[in-house]
Amino acid sequence: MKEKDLHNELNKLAPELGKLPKEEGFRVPEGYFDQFSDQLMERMHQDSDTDIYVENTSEKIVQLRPSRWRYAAAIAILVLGALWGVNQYIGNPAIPLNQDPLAMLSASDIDQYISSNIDDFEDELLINEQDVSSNPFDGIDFNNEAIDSYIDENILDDLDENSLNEFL
Amino acid sequence: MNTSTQSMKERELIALLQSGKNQDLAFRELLNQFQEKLYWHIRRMVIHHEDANDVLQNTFIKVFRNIKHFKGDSKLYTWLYRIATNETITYINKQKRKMATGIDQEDGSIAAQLKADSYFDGDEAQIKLKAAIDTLPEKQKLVFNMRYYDDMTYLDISEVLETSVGGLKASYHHAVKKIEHFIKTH
Repeated sequence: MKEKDLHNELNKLAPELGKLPKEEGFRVPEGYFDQFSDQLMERMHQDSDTDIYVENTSEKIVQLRPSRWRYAAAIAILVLGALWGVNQYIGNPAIPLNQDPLAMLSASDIDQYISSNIDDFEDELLINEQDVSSNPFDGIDFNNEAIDSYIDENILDDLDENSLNEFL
Repeated sequence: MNTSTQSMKERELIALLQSGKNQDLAFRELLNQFQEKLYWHIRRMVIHHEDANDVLQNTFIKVFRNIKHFKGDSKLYTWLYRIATNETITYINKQKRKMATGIDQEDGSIAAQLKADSYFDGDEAQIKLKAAIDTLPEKQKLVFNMRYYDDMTYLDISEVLETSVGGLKASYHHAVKKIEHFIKTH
């Protein structure tokens, strides 16, 4: 419907309203519409669902979903890392392929590793791996004097007054 | 520019938006073409500029997310109006809930709010018309605004609101009569 028809329709229905100008009196901040697209793009850039990667603001904005790119980059890094590791392994003549790499470690290295990472080991694994063929207390003299001395040096200082009373 | 050229340009714009190729440029073009129209459509409903700005941003974000689903069953602009209208109604309902729970309190009549608004410099006649529109139910308000201010056809309004043309005509007539009565009696 043309504007004239609309005006006629309005005049017939509501002559008082038809006399009023259509200007509304609303204003917007200066430059609002000029800046709106940049303002919106900025917000969309911050929102991962609508992220728009600004490659060159004057020319081009490439729409990406960076979360996907991050996943892709992470996978690429992992693959490259794995390839590098295999490459290193194959290319290193100091470690023959048919030799167990653990065999290259000294006992003290292994002890140190286990001490540092003791929490990572399951109790069951530690028990199963324990050498039970020999008595670990062999050679230790468990006389009363030795026990008293051990308690004095290692336990008494750690006890609070209540525990000490209970203990005594 | 004739209608066929317009629709061809519209089709090209939609194709670019949906293809992902140069989508950024197409989206800026979409903003340039429709931001002002949609802004005023929203502003008439929410009144304050800051609210209109929020809703307009939400509208275009929704458009961006959903443009791939636009099948061209309706005109692009009525589809955009529909999203803007839905966003506006959602926003107004949220505001109403906040006011009902006392989180947000907006004191005074629409006239008082407009007079206090730094982005409104209308005269008494304009304030009276806004006050008259404010007495209408939401749907009548929307129909009146789209017909009176945007000169939209009933067919286009029916696409936006997904209602029958007959029902819209009745809504508009009721709205106009109520506004006329308000103007005469205030």
